[in-house]
Amino acid sequence: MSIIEIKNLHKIYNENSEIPVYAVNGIDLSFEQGEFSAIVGPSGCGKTTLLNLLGGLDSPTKGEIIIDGVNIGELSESKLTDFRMKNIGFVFQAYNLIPVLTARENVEFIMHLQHRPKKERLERAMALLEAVGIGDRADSRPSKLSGGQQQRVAVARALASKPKFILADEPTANLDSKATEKLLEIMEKLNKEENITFIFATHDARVMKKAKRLINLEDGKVIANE
Amino acid sequence: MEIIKLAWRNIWRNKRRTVITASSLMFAVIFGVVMRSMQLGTYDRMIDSAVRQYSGFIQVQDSAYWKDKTIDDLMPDSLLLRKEISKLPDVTGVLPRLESFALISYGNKTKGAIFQGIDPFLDNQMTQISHKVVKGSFLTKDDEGILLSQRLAGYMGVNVGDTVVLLSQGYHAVTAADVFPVRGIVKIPNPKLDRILIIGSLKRVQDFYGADGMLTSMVVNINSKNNIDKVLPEVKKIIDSGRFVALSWTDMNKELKQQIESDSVSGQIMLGILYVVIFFGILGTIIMMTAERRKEFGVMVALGMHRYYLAMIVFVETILLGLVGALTGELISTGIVSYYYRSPIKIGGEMKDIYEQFGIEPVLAFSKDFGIFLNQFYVVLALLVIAVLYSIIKITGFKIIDAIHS
Repeated sequence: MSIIEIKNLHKIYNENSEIPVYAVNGIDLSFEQGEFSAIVGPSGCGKTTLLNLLGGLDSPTKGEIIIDGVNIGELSESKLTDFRMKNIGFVFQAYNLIPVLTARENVEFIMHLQHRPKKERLERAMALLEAVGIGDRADSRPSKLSGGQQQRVAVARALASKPKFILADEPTANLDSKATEKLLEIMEKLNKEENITFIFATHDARVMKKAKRLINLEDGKVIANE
Repeated sequence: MEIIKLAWRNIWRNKRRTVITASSLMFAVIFGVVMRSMQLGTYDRMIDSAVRQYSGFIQVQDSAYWKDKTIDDLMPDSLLLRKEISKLPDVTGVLPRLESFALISYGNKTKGAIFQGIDPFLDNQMTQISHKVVKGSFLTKDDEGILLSQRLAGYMGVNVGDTVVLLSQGYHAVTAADVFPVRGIVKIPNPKLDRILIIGSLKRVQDFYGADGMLTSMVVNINSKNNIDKVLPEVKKIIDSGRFVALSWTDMNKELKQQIESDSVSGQIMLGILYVVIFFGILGTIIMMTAERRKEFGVMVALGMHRYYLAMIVFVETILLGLVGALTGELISTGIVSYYYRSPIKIGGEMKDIYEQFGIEPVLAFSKDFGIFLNQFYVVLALLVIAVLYSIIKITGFKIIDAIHS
């Protein structure tokens, strides 16, 4: 059963100008629970835009995104914020951890927004940090962690709210090959063992190699989906 | 993550900026408190020397007296009326007074003066005037002698034990002339009064002016000048409004009141300018902080934090920053004000002469009024709240995507 359905999705920048930019141009796609998929394509093909639309971070010009039966385009901003918090995990290229919080507190952050009890927050944060192999650095602030370690914290943070899927935008772009290998190994393991859905936007060959499905974009259109 | 914990950590992420901003707030509070305390303390001292020590906060007089201030428009002394007024809440005492113009003569010198009759016991209870006797002794009840103010005595070349002649017009045109032994020299804080005041016992002054049992006024003193609007109507209710009037110190000292008001306004304008400068400093910090953290704000909202919650964190951060600066400022200014409250600054040199020419005691006194501290604190908080509106507007308006990719 599809957890995400994308219907005739368009995102057009400068729509009323002489040169409109069709970042996403009529995409129809669906994703199943437990997928490990990568949206790939050259720079400017619309990967990140599609991922942002999927995450409810940006609104489409036309079309629908239905996640678990909810058309997110119809949600108010406040409800969309709650929807993101409960259903979507994000991993960003630049990690984007909150610098004044420790690794554990960064993971706890979303659970705090969900008003989870302190004990549960603490236990789950530690369990997730252990799962991504960074339990021993739980009390370190991001500035004291390497890029690879920060990205693993970001993955743990994305998992904290028990989301339906995780969107990862170029998660390995700033990592060396060793850190990339380790990160992909962790995500693959989480996907296999806990059936967590991962959708990547990437042009990293190492990610593409691990992905079970590749969605190839060009000029905002899906040119291959295998 | 508790908001306060997060906010506290956020304000220390750029220690240097936080220290600079908090310091600017601290100095604003110190400057504001010390300056205002000095102004209000000096005004209080001026009022105290001109009002509490002389005219009183309220005077009950014959309804015709104030216009021409002639000795023919006196009121009868009434112990009953004095007692009734004394019973009013906030009234600390009612003093019978008789005063008029007199010429004082000693040797080949003559000078115009005010001859004031007081009840030595009651007056001293209220004004502690005996503590201001710098030479000789204070008056006893019905004393035959007089006290001369220090500058007047100096001008006349009179000393304790000397006898002076006083000459005036008495009640209903009787001639008032007599000799008086000088019991003591008294230092009057108000320089203007110190040049012209002669004090005698009420009984002796009434005899001198041929005005037995008569007064020019009943001086009503109260516990605080701030209570005057409460007490004055009560006094007016008690007195026979057909025969008597009750005047406030501001009615009787219009010049002093205007002088204080205009000086106070100029002080407030200076403070206002200071706060405008400080405000733009704070605003600059907040604009920088908001710009620096735009990406972080975007990420937080993307992860599911509501914008109002984010705005609340930033608000708390700003208030915490303000509290650090303002409370440190309050603490330091409390020390400064307490010191100068105990040891007021005495003005010397040319400034002293200028002050005295205006009839002002050349002393910069300080007020410990809690309201001064509170007001500066509120002003700083208000500035912060206005400045943080910038952040809040930005937080409520940014596009998540733009912020994350900024």
